[in-house]
Amino acid sequence: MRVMLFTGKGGVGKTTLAAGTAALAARDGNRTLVLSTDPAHSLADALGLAEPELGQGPIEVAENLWSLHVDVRDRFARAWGEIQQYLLDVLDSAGVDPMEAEELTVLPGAEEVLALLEVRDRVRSGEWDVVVVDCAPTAETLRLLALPDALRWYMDRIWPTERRVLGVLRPILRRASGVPMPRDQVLDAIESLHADLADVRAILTEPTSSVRLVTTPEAVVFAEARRTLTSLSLYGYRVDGVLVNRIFPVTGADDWRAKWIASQAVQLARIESDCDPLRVWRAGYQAAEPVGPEALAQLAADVYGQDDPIAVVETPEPLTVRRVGEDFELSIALPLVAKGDVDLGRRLDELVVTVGPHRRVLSLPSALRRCTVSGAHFEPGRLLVMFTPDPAQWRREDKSS
Amino acid sequence: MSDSEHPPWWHADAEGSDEQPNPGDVGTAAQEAVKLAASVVQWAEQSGLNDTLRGIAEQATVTMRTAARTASGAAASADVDDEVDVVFEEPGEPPHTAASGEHQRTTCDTCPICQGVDLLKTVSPEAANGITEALAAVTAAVKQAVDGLAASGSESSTKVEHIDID
Ligand SMILES: Nc1ncnc2c1ncn2[C@@H]1O[C@H](COP(=O)(O)OP(=O)(O)OP(=O)(O)O)[C@@H](O)[C@H]1O
Ligand SMILES: [Mg+2]
Repeated sequence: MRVMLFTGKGGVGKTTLAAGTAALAARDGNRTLVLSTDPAHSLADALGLAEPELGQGPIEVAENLWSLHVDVRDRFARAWGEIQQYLLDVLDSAGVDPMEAEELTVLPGAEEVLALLEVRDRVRSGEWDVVVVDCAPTAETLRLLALPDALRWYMDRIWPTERRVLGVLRPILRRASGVPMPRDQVLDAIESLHADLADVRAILTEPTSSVRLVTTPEAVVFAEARRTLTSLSLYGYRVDGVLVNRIFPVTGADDWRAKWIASQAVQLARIESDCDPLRVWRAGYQAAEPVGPEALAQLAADVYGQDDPIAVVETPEPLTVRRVGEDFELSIALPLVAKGDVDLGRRLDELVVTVGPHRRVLSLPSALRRCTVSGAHFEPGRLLVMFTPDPAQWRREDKSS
Repeated sequence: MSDSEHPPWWHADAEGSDEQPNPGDVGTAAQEAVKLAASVVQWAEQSGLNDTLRGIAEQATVTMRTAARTASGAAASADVDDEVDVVFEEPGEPPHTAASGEHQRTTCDTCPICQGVDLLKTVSPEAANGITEALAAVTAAVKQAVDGLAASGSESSTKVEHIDID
């Protein structure tokens, strides 16, 4: 079971290359499902399909190739409905117009998260050899999925107490404020949303899942791809390749295009050196929009050449822990950053790693919880944190077990 | 919302078990609430979730402000409408600052709880009295709990210790 995610700046060709990769995988005999987390219909457009009907299941596009338009309405009701209803009731008790209230309780980004729940279900169904996901422009949602991990301490340590406290004080708070307090069903819904998100993330960070970044050979576009590469690694996703799209053919260029070709060559060289050791694939600017499974598969075949389009390219593991004598070494891949951009802290059972605007709160594996941090070292592309067993803590554990 | 209408579901349990909780329970709950509040704030600060929480608080602020506008009737709505627009145009700016001159502020500017209290006050004047009373009661219980905590030695700290990278 292989899961491939495609992301990149708006308009770079994510949908085209995701659909192309899927079409090629299908042509090679893999049972392939391609779906988009984008509520627009561009995936159907690229595949040359009619506008999909809502609630329709996967549509067979070609032999072995299926496309799914995710209908999040139903999921929305299941995952968010209870919580949203509560918010609506709060607003209602405050006299807000129901129409207006409805608008206020729409969660930004919720649709994409729910689409990823669909991905989870499809992956778990075991029906597919390959699931290709055409993601939204920024990888914001994938980063959002790190939230359950960041919330773990909260959910383990604080949430149960909070529920208890709320249980006792609910009548007082309700009467005093005139605002309804969340009932158990609402709290249950929050808990299951948390568990669902953690589950989706578990699937997307498995060794058989990887992200492919789509960019064009332009400085501004690639600058964003670089940042995405760093932050996805920080949050533990495996990025195993970069697809550079819309490369001009070199022959028969007029003056205007010759300038573009020269500038693209400079950017291509930079992308190759920055992204090393990731695989960099190139996609030529076609004379027409590649639409339909054949055209898409052909484009993908040119892009991947001799490479197996669906194989996970060997890349540094996003996160590893290994034993070094009595100690442990935790290693986090952090490509394209300098030592000065990285900040590290420890709090109880968590490691807090900050890179620029992104912070990952990492729940430590149990062996490391009983260790003290004995040092941290940055080398290009990687942060290493050394842990030394804390005799006091190991002894306490031995006694209790 | 009048009582003659269908009671909303959250009042469903009001007929049955809507008793004043046992004072002992409240004391314990308040004690737990204190620990809780302190850990949550620290946790949020140190998890880099401040922005997220602030985002939520801001959204809540906008929501509540809209609630206030609707509740206070159409009379002042043109005025408040402008305000809400400004809030949407400048999401970076904490919404409460846009209108803080309007309401008498008895609470701090920054923490979400105080913002919430302020906002609830703008929602309905009757509710404000209720809140003040409830807060007084809870505060007393909380104070008692804090004294108890201080005596028993406080929770282990959840501070982040910085690690140097070489
Ligand atoms: N290599 C290419 N040659 C020619 N046209 C291309 C190529 N790649 C993409 N296109 C065209 O560019 C347009 C945008 O591509 P696509 O929809 O795949 O981008 P996207 O990154 O998915 O955009 P969005 O961010 O809006 O989802 C489409 O019309 C597509 O057919
Ligand atoms: Mg697209």
